[in-house]
Amino acid sequence: MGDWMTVTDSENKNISQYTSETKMSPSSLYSQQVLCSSIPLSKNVHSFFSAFCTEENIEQSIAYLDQELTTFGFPSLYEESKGKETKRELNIVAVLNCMNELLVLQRKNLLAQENVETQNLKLGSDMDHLQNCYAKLKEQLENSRREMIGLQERDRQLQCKNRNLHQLLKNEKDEVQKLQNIIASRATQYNHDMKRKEREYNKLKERLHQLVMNKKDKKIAMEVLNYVGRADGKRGSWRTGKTEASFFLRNEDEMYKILLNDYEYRQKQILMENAELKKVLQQMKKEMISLLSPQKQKPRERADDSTGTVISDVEEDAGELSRESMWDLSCETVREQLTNSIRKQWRILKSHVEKLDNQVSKVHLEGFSDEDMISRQDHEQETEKLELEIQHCKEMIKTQQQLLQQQLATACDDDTTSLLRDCYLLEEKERLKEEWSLFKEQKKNFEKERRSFTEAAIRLGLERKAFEEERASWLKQQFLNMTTFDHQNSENVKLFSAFSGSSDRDNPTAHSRPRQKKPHSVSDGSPVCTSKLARSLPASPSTSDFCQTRSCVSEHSGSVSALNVTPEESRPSQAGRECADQKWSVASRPGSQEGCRSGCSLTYTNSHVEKDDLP
Amino acid sequence: MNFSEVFKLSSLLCKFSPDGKYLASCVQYRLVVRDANTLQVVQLYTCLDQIQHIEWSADSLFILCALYKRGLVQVWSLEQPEWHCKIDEGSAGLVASCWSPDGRHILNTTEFHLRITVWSLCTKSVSYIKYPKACQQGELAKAAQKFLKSLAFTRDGRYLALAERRDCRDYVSIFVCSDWQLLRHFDTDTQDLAGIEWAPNGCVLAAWDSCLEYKVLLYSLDGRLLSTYCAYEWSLGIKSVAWSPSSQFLAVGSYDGKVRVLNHVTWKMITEFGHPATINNPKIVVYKEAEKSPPLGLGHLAFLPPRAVAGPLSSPESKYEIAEVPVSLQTLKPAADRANPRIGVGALAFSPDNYFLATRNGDFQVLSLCWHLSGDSLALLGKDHFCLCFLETEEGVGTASGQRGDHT
Repeated sequence: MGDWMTVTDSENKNISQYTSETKMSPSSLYSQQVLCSSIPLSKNVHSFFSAFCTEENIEQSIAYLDQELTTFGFPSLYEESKGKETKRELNIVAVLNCMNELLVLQRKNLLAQENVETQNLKLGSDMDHLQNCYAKLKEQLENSRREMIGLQERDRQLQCKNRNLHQLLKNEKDEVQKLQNIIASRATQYNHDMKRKEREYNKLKERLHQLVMNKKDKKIAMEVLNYVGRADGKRGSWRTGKTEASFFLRNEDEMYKILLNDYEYRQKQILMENAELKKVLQQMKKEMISLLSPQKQKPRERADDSTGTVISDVEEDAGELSRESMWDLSCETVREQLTNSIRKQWRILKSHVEKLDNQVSKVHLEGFSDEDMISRQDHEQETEKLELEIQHCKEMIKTQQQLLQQQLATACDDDTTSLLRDCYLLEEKERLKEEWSLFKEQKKNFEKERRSFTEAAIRLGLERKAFEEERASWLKQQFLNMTTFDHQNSENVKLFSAFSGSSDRDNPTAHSRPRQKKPHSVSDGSPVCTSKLARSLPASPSTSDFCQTRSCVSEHSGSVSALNVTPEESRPSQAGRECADQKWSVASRPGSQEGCRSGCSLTYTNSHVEKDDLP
Repeated sequence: MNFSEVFKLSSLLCKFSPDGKYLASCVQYRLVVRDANTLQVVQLYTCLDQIQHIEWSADSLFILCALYKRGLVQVWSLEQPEWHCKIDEGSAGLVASCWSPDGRHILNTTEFHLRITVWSLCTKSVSYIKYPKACQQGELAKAAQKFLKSLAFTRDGRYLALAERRDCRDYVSIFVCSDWQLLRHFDTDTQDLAGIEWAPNGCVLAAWDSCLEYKVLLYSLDGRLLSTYCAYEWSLGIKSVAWSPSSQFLAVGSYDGKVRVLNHVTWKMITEFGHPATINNPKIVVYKEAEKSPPLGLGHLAFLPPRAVAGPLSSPESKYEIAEVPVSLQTLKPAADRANPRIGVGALAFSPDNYFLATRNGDFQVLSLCWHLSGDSLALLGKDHFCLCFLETEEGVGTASGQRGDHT
């Protein structure tokens, strides 16, 4: 409905204009205009109101209004007329009611208008929005279409290139093939030519050979002074007819023997290697099992499946261990069993390690919440330790294996068997050696003691003898004294003094004697030796012997002076028993042993005993 | 290192006796035998003409002097100086001469390789072997004149393998050395058999093709083909072959600069060694000769098996220092369009204890590689230089002492 308030001079026209305008233009500006103009303005009210009804046309306006209202369905403004000719009276109540109705209507209409306007606005903005979207989408569509075309174009170009490259490749391959064919054909051609030339050459050679042989050169000969024996010392054999075949067979035999030996040797090597590797694999398997089996103590549901397999595997292996001796045979099933079991163990170990890795990564994410979880470092250390241990054990086992193999190898030759024969008794032998050395030491000690005893006994004997002789001489002296005074006594006295005297006096006398006999006796040591010897020797009854011994002794001492110098010089003035300790190799000299023997029997025995001590 | 006085020598003919007691050398037509320790002249023999080749018999009792130009072989005895022997090939000519392993037979190859004559010093017998093959041993043959690789004796001297060619096909004959009987005769599947060599255990014979085709064939002692090996086709093939002392490995050096090692169980390649121009691996020790005088060119000596060895150019004083990795080895690019180019692995030598393999690749001026019997030192002989390398066997680290040798 149009706005009743906007009224101008021409009533109907304007009203219809405005109504049509409001229908057509939903612009917000206009609606604002409408709204603000819908608020009754005090300024224009009067003018507007006076425009329609003036004081002159009241009746007409009432009639007109009544007409309009009745057409709109409102009750009439006039009162109920009694008759047709009388003027109808204005029904004020009806007028007021109509006004109220009109106001209410107006309000309703305004509301409706507002609603409609807002809706209009909304719809307008929606429309705008949609149009924008539409424009954008259109643009996007356009862009993507363009892109697609571009990509298609590129794809096409690339395919073209691809095709070109394929073509090139094919061309190259063809060319290569062609060249190879060319080479092959050229090679055959060259071979053919070569063969031809070679045949020619062979013919020439044959011809030359014929010529050379035909010349019957007496010059082609060998002249040898004398024929040399064969390298291995054997004589040549005659080559008759029946031995030709035997030669041939023998050669064949020998050749096959050599080949067989070689094959056997190689096979043995390979078998040994095989056995070693098998042992290593077995060891690895056992270790893997032992690695995995401690896991079953941990209450993990994940490990259940692995423990199940581990337990079953252990049981299986326990059964297999009893058949271990069969594993030395290299039959197919055993080999397969071994490899399969190792693969199984390895798979279990791998899955276990993967699980641990996962756990570790989880731990890193979640933090160290679980107590059962081993820290990564510990785990790594543990594995490293285990690996080292495994390595160590493997090496030990390998070396032990090798040693065992060497021992038990049956194809040893005699030398090694003889060497190895007593190897089990080595410990006992060593012990025996120790005991022997002990025994020897003891024996030496015993020998020493025995020697000292014998020396003591000898000395005792000598002293006794000396005593006896002393007694005899004393008796003799007594006897002689009783008869006559002999010149012998002087000697005896001298000699007697030799016994009773000191060593100093002894020395000059001893010195003089050998000096008289042998002016070339070399060192001071030797006379000292002889003097000492003199002390122990029986003097008087064997003066001649004494001289003899002394001479031979001096001879020998001269010759062994070098030997004896140092010990003598070190101990020049020691007691007589020292002489027994002196190393006299005198009597061992064969030359004058006999000469000395008579007089030096005791010394000989001494030195003889001594000789045993010589290293 | 002390050097003795210089003795005259002709044609590089100078050999120690197998028992190590004597040293034989020749001057023109005279053969001089010296004691190995004192270098005093022990014997002096005179031959009829200039000597081209000398060889000791295996038991060190005889020396063979070959006079190729006259076609004569003269044999001298050390025990009895008055004993003499002269073998005259006459108009057949003489191209090569060698001893048999028992030291009592002489094998002469006549001219044009028409035949091989076996002369016996014990009996009055002569044997002829027809159609021998003329194989060269490769670059080292240049130093050893015409050493034929068509003959191969087993190490224990029992068998002789001979490469032959008849009717454009290659054959191998195996003879028993004790009575020169033919044991086996079989053909080989090669285009042009270049060489044969016995394994040290005497049970396997390796035969290889010429450099136009890479093929190694392994035969058993009784002539069965055990295996063939071919690394690649079309390029130049095998240049040198060496067995390891335990017969476990066969090293094949080829023109592509690589050494391939085959094992004796499967006869397949177990490893391959290359000779790269730049050494990057930090585990390799490179010894570089540092020279005091301004160098004409720097020499490098890298030592961890197998490494290529360079011959250093002359300098008065030198010492070796460890060069830092990466080291680039100086290589000369030889002319590739000529026949028998100087590329590829030309020399191989296993150490006697099977630990190391020394190889020479390319154009380096090393003429021979020789290991000491104990396996801990290696002697390298160049044209002007002599180098002694000593290995500390704990880690295989080598110290090298370079010496200036008096060259003859």
